[in-house]
Amino acid sequence: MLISVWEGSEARPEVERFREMWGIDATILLDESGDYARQLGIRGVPTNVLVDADGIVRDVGLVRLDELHAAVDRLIADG
Amino acid sequence: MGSTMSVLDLDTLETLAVVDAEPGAGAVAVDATRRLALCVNFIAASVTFVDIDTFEPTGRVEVGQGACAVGIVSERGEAFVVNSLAGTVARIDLDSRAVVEELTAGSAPVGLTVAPEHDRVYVTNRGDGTVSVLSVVDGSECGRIDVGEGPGGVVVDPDDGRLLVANAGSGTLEIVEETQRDGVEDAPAEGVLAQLVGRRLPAFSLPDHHTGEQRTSLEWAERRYILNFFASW
Repeated sequence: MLISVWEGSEARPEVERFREMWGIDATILLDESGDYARQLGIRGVPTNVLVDADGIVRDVGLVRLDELHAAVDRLIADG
Repeated sequence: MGSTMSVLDLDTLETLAVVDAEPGAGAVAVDATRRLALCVNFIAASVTFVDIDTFEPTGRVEVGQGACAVGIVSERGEAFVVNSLAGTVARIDLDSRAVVEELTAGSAPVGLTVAPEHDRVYVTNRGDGTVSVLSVVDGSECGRIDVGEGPGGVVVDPDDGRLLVANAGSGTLEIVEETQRDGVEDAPAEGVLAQLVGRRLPAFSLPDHHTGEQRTSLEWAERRYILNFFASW
């Protein structure tokens, strides 16, 4: 799931253009004001937040692909 | 036509040459001493070297994924290329045209400028709202400056030495005084985001970009998922 933040006043067309350019199929939500991102303490993008089946945050940040892959593997392995 | 670099005469605004580069050609820098231009290619993860007298490409070197910014320290014969997706800064020897070192900065580095003294480079970290101060001598991070959200472009005002940082997420231009950016600072203390690990994700209710319908965290209850916070700029 992707959450778009800080897009400005016309988020939807910008996000749609981005989605088409990169061929994104996942759910995209809009956090136009950035309030939710700030609530989590996010100060920059891209930032990933991994959540397990109990709703617990397992890992954050993970900008580099190798870090992200390793964290996802751990999340899957832990069930 | 593939990715190219255009050369313009600034007096006449005429195009003098169109030089073949590689996919994602973006940032450019010039070393007047070596009569050399460097064109950074984001998608190809490479740098194209161009002779600025003949406008002919004369070589290339592979750098890291997401190469997007470059700065040159001519007297050292070095260029520094920011690799945003790899999270590194490549140090390139301009004589051998080889990457000789990979430096680390903060999260999602995207911008770079060379200090007027040519002893440091400033790297904006889009992923954590900071600017890394890297020594060009040993490549170490000798400082970290908190700025706004989603910093990108960065320059040093040559007249007063202030650092100007464009924060795309905040929609601000931040001016950092020289006294704020000199010296050694500890790495940022563990922030709010890191403290989330091991805790329940705060509930959200956000509109779906496609339907406009409010979607809540309840919809993903009992499922494992990744939230990727991004921006299209």
